[in-house]
Amino acid sequence: MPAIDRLKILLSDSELKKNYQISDEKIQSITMTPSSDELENEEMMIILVRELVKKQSEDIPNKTAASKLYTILDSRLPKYLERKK
Amino acid sequence: MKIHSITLKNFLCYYSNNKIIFKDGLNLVLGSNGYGKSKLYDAFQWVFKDGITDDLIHGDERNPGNIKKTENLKRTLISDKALAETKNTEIVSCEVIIEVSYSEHIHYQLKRKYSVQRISNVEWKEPVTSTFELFKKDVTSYITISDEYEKDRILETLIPTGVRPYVWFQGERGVNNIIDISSAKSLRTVIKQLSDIEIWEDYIDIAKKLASDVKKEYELAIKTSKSYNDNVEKLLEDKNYLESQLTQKEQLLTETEDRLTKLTKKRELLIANLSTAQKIEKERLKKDNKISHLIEVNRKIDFFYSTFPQNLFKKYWLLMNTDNLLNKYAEKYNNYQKLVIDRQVSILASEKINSLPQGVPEPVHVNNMLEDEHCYVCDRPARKGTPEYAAIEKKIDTSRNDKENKKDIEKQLRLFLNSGYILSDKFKNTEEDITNIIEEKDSLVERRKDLEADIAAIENEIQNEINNSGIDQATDIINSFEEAEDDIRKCSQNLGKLQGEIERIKGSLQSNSFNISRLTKGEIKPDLEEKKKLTEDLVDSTIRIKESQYSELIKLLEKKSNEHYERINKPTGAFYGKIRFTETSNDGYRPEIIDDTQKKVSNLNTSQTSSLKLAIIMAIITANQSIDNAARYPLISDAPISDFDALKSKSFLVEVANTFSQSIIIVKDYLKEEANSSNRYSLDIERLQELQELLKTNSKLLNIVHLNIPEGLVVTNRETLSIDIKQIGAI
Repeated sequence: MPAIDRLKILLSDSELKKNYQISDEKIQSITMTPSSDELENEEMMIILVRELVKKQSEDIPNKTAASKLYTILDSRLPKYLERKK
Repeated sequence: MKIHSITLKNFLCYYSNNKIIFKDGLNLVLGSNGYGKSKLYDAFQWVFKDGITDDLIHGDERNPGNIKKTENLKRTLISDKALAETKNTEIVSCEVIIEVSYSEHIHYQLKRKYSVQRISNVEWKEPVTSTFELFKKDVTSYITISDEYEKDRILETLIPTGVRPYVWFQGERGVNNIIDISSAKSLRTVIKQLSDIEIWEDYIDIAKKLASDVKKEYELAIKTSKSYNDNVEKLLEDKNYLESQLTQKEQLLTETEDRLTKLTKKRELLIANLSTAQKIEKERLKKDNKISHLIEVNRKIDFFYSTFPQNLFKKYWLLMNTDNLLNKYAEKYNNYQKLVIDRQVSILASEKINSLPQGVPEPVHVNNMLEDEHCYVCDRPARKGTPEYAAIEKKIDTSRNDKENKKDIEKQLRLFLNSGYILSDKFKNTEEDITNIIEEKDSLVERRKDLEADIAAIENEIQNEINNSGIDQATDIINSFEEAEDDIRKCSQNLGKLQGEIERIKGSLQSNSFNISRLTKGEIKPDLEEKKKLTEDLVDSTIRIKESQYSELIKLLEKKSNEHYERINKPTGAFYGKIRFTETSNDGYRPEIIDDTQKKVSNLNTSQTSSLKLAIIMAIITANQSIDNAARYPLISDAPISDFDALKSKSFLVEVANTFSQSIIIVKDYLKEEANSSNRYSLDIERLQELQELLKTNSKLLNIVHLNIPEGLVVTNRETLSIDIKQIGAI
């Protein structure tokens, strides 16, 4: 199954959709490599899930993938929260 | 991959060079028992796995693959005939060559070889390894591929290790190794092996690791916050305790699930023999009951023999038919009485004339007369010592003795007659009594014979069941089954209890987290709070998605299994039901057969169980939609239809041909023993033609290969044995 399909499946989780206001349109149009503008406006959870799918495909140990995700989360979260305000 | 041919040279019972050509469609290899069928299957295994099926460790849980490697087989891999013909110092080899293609233009030749040298009559030089060569076809010739990594890669491309067990298997044992329906986790394992579901488990793992990193950061932030005090510390301590409890309970849950799986497997194994064991036990109870009856009957017969002589006396049976004697006696007694009366009359008459009547005078008067020495009868003196005195004296004795004697005799005679009458009453029904009691005894003897015959028949039945099933400890099986049932019940209860405890701990952890955040409110940075929430939600989401993915794959597998199952069973006309994958309490799925009312069908026979498993195996291949496994990999199976009747065998073969673009099915079916030659078999043309016609309707081809042994040879003499391969093709 291609990574993009798995990304869509993960984002289709009802709890996630409800808690992070992820619309069906967004799921339909989502890509693995969004433009910087798209990235700027995306929900943090979407970014996180995309990175999870992407990092796992890189054939690296899960621990390393988790560390990379942590770094990404750490670096993007302040901007995201700022934007949310 | 498509298999074009296999060449067996001195491999096991295949002496010298033997080549079998395979085609697209259904390749049916037919051979009787001992005619090299399983050895042909072994040849495929040997090339790909460097080992063959080990019968000796069949069913061993420690070695589910049951593969014995070349290093343990050594020269037993080589034909006994070839070994017998090898002279001292000579080298003899066995080899198997398989020609395959990956696509229209990519052809390979796979060759495995093993050689030994004869040192003496009893000694051999045997290396521990075989040689494996892989050649790639280049227009007209084959190029050797020597790089070991490349060889492994090509083999894996031709047929992945994970897929091989599902498309290459041997009869019932192979099927059991692939999919153990008694294990609830078996289907999950299957799904895991044949789908990309593991990637979702990786997502969970990564999300959990990420959440764990964030949690550490979060707890550090709490500990360094201004609000950190004893209350928070206590809550954090509680949290750690709850988390360790959770881990412990989850570990216990896993162990209990494993135990439940083992118990379920044990129960399934016992179930296979349970009905026979119950039958044997029922027969034994019947036998015990009959034996109790027999003991009672024997007791009654013994009682008859021991009491009969006593009854001759006790019940006056000896007097039976003595009525005439009594009558004669009564007549004589009457005569006697008459005589007595007559005599008394005559005495009285004479005494009246000549003397005193009998009993006169009374003894008291006689005594007075003796005292007075005077006879008052004739009123004259009777001095002592005189004849008169003596006459009076005589009167005393005579009157007394005569009277007493007469009375006694009379009494005895009368008593005897009365006793006779009384006794005659008692033995008047004796004949009937004796007839009844003897009839009763005869009936008991008959009953004893019947019971002994029944017991012998039951014993025979029990012995037959034991011989047929090999079960001689029926009670143990029943007890073990009941124990297993009891253990499963307890284990399931424990499982439920543990699941409840885990839920409670999770609830406590939630409220603990809430309390910590309440006490440290405002102290933790919002981005850290958000980070924590995001990562925890990610963990929950990946877990949910993985489960839904499993569930979808299971549903797909169930659907596909039913399609195959129906097509295999429907033509037989017998009841077959529907396959349902039921979720178990230990997080697994168990395949069951259900009837129209959705009720589980118990006590499936071996044919139903085999077709259930085979249908699932086919579904495992056909349900994997990402790769067209059925078209890509050939099915190779040895004796998959040994439990099926002719109709079901036919529908299974049709289903195989329709599912797989190429299949090699090795069976002993579709053969007839030749009338004039024992141990030689010819093809059952009629049935094969029927099968071929059915395949033709779906544009599938039938290619027949017949394994026989040359005339005059016997399968038991391995030093002369060779296999005669007839490439029949279509009928």
